[in-house]
Amino acid sequence: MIDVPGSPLSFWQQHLTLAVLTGGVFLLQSGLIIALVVQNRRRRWAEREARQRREELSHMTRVATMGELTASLAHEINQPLAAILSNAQAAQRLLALEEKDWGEIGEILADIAADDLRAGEVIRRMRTLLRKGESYPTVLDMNDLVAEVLGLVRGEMILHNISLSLELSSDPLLTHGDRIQLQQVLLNLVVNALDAMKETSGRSRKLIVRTQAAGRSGEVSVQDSGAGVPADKLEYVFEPFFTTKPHGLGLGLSICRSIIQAHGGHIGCRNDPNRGAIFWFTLPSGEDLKE
Amino acid sequence: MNVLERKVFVVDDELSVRKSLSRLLKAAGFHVETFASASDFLKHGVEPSVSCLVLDMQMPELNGLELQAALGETDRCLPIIFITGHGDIPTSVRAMKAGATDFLAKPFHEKDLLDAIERAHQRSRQELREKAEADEVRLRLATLTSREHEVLLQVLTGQLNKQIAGTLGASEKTIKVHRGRVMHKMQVQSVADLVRLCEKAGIRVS
Repeated sequence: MIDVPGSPLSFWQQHLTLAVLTGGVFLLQSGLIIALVVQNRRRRWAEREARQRREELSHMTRVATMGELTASLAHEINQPLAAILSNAQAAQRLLALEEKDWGEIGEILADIAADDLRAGEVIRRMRTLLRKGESYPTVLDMNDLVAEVLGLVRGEMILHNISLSLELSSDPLLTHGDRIQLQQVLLNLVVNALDAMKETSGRSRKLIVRTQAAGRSGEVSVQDSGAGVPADKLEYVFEPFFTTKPHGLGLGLSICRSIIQAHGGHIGCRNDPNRGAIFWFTLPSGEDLKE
Repeated sequence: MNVLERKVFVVDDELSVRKSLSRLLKAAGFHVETFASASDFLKHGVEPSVSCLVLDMQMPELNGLELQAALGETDRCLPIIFITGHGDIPTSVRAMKAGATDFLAKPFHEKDLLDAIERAHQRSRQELREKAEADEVRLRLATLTSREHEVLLQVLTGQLNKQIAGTLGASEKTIKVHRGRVMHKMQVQSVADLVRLCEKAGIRVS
């Protein structure tokens, strides 16, 4: 054996195979990690894309629904505007008199302020629904939801001689959700109900909106006094592109369903044996939401 | 012009609109009465006087057009000014065809409303005058005997006594006497006046 002093075996000579193997494993792992990261990014990107699409679509149907309500909204804004103008001009006349009735003028100004706030409220609600953007889940009362939506269709109901019956739960019906999206669902159901009644003649036109607690959920239902949904179509009404309206896209109810499902709730419809159709949805509700 | 001659009725379901219009019109010197619904107004009824109706188009239950139709059946000399929160063309055309004097979209300027009321009052005044005249003519017509009435109808067609005598099977002299009585009772001097008067009462000459 020749032992050359001062020249021990180098690290590479000793551990070449191990080093190569370790390096290989290291490279493979990095590659795998990169691949996973890229895949994850892609999935998230695709999810965001899908969510954006869904939001655009629901925004589009919201805009379309509001479009159907232009007459109603114009009516709701023009009423207070008319009162404001007449009040202001009455006040001008009262101020031009020798003896000024300050009490009356004060009342006029108070009425002008109240009507102005009313018109502003209609515009605020309209803007909220027309706005496009990210959703913000909050705790909300389903009874408030009903009041907000009915405020938008009041004029429409007057225009078409439809009366309203409200059967709201006496306690607040709290749920956790996106206010705009849930307003959209309810607005869609209400507009459909009104449309169903515009075609009926002879019988009285009545919209019934109910809210009630049902176990750990809260239920909102909308009943019309129209012809009802044909029995063979009941199971399809929430399918995309199903419509009974001549100019309908058939997307409204399918979007309602996806919104309610995303909120962990259920949506459905049935015919009342006596009159019209009932569309309802439930959302998780309860005391634990109160914080 | 007394207070009663500047009367305006306002029918609108919305309290704030009623209140503001009432204030404005009172400040402008009118006698104003407001109603929350068409049926309230119908229940109240209207005495014939120079007046007009400021009527909201869209109301629950009985709407403006339906009230207009209901009023059309009872001849009241009450011109209608429609006000509307959302005026579409077909509705306004229907309203105007049914005899509305004006159609104002809310919110409207006081000048437009006051001008419209002025026009409506003029029309109301004229319709009342015509109605009074027609009533007077009808009173005179009611004093005619049936024979005189027959003669009147013949005279209106421009026939001579001789022709009338032939048609009615009487002597020319008798017809002349009847004709004289007709002219006397109707308080007219000429056939032209008689024709004009009878037209006011709705008797048309073919």
